[in-house]
Amino acid sequence: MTCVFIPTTQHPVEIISLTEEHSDIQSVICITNTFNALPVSTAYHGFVRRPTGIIQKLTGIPSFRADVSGIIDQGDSWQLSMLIAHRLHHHDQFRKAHDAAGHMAHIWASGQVDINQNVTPIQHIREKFQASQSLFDDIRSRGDQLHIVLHPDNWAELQDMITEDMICHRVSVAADIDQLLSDARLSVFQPHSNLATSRLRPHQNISTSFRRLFNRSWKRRMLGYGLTMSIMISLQQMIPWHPIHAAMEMEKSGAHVELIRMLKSYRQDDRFIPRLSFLYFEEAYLKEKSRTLINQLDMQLVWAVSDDNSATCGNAQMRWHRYQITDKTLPSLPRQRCQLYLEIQNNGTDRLALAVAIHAKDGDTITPILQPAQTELAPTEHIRHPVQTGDNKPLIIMMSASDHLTMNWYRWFKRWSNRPMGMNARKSLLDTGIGVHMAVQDKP
Amino acid sequence: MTKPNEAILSDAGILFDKITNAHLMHQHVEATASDGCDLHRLWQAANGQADDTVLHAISLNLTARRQFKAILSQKASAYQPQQAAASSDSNIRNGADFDVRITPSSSQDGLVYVQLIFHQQASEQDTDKQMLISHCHGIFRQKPLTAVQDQRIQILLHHDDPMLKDLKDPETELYIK
Repeated sequence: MTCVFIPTTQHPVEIISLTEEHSDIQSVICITNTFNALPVSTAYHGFVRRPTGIIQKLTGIPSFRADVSGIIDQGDSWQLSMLIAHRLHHHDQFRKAHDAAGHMAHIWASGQVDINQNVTPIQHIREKFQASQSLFDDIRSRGDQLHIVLHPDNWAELQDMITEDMICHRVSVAADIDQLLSDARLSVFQPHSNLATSRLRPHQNISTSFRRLFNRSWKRRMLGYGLTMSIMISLQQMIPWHPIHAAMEMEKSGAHVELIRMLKSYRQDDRFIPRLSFLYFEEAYLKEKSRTLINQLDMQLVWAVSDDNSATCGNAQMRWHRYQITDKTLPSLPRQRCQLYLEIQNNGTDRLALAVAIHAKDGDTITPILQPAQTELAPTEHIRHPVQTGDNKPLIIMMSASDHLTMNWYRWFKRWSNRPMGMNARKSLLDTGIGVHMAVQDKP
Repeated sequence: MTKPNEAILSDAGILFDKITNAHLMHQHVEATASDGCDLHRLWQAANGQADDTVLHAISLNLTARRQFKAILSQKASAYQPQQAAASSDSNIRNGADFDVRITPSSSQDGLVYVQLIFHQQASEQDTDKQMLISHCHGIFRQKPLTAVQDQRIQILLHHDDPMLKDLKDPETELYIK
């Protein structure tokens, strides 16, 4: 079982349960079995619900009730533990996974989290750690795992108090939290003796050493900058400015086929500097444009469930939910949903050409749900595609966006749509500055 | 109670508001009802400063009840009268000042969310709301309130809470102080 604890200066508080509530309900933290809302409930509501909330952004669910074992008076240090608990809950891992031997994973986390999952350090960490000693002893005596999750600054404060049997995770960005969740889920099935090796990952060792090297003195940094500048000046004479300018003009005029031919020819160029220059042009201009175009789109999954959670639809009491598609994964959707739509809005200032396709995935078989279609969206305009999923199969949503309504890139999109996992057509789109996004459901 | 008597009580309520030294006032006001339900106690109760025992005592005393209602109608920042007819959905009460929405928790462990949804913008209304007082069939009950957020106050009740039964009864009058 994976348990999550919120340390306070008085005692550690365990998150006992998370319950998805009706979207009209304000999220609340209660002491379990008492129905008393804690004073931090107002802040928790803001932490869950959009626009400020991170939990709705990640899970698509706007309201939760969290039951905890004790009082949390004030502050925001509960946010990191709550985020971890919600993410485990979203993947059906919260207080559920357990191994055959009955070992448990305990996550003790403290930190403030912003909407992008960046973690900031908190105060009184030593007092909190001290107040949790009896919990740690209890965990040790049962032979369970203990994961300590903190911002690197807080970790530095606690270095002398942390013992060998604690598995430490220093988290400051979303990727660190992803890694922690992956560790927490997997390591619960590993023998306890193997855990000491996971205290510091090899890539963390390298990056930490690298950071230390460059933090030693500002003189070393200045020397590095100076050296880079002089190399750049000497190399700029060898950079093929005219071909790069021609490539930019091709992209601007929508001559994507000619552009990709030119890129291919420079990728095979024997000369190092022209090849490197075009590589930089692709990364810094074309792929950046591709990302910008996709970021201009507000893509949301919208679904309704009947108010009484029954299979019957069509009554006036339906609860509507939204999930903003921002990354490569889609949330699991309720099986007894009434309707499902894909909504796309152009939030940019220019007219965009948009291509969309939706598929259902059944192992290696891909079944089209929405055939590829190309359309134009004016600024602030939006389209809504109904998504008809007869059988419960994971969805694949594919879309491309460009400022050129031409068949050149749409042909590539159709080819990509036929083989969503194939790389060639997708790469052609990305390489020529066409916005590309694919989101896949793990579970239906 | 006659109209002039109600007017006198209303004036008394306003007078109490203006006097800062309530204790001094208490010494000068004679008890007007039996069971210790004098005007000072009624005034305190209407301000959400009395415990459930006092409200129970008021509920048992006809005179105190009438006086308390009169003070409440002056002091309350929001009011919802009896519902005109039995609604098809007892979990929703609509009113001019605020609506009430009753939603059981989806965990089905007995927790019920009660939301008071105000029609006025938060900046326009009195944000210092302390107590919800219900009056149903002569019985007064009260619940402390949390802060207004997004024009609504949410409180948590157990499904056996008598206040919840009152909220579902169309005969109930609601006061927010």
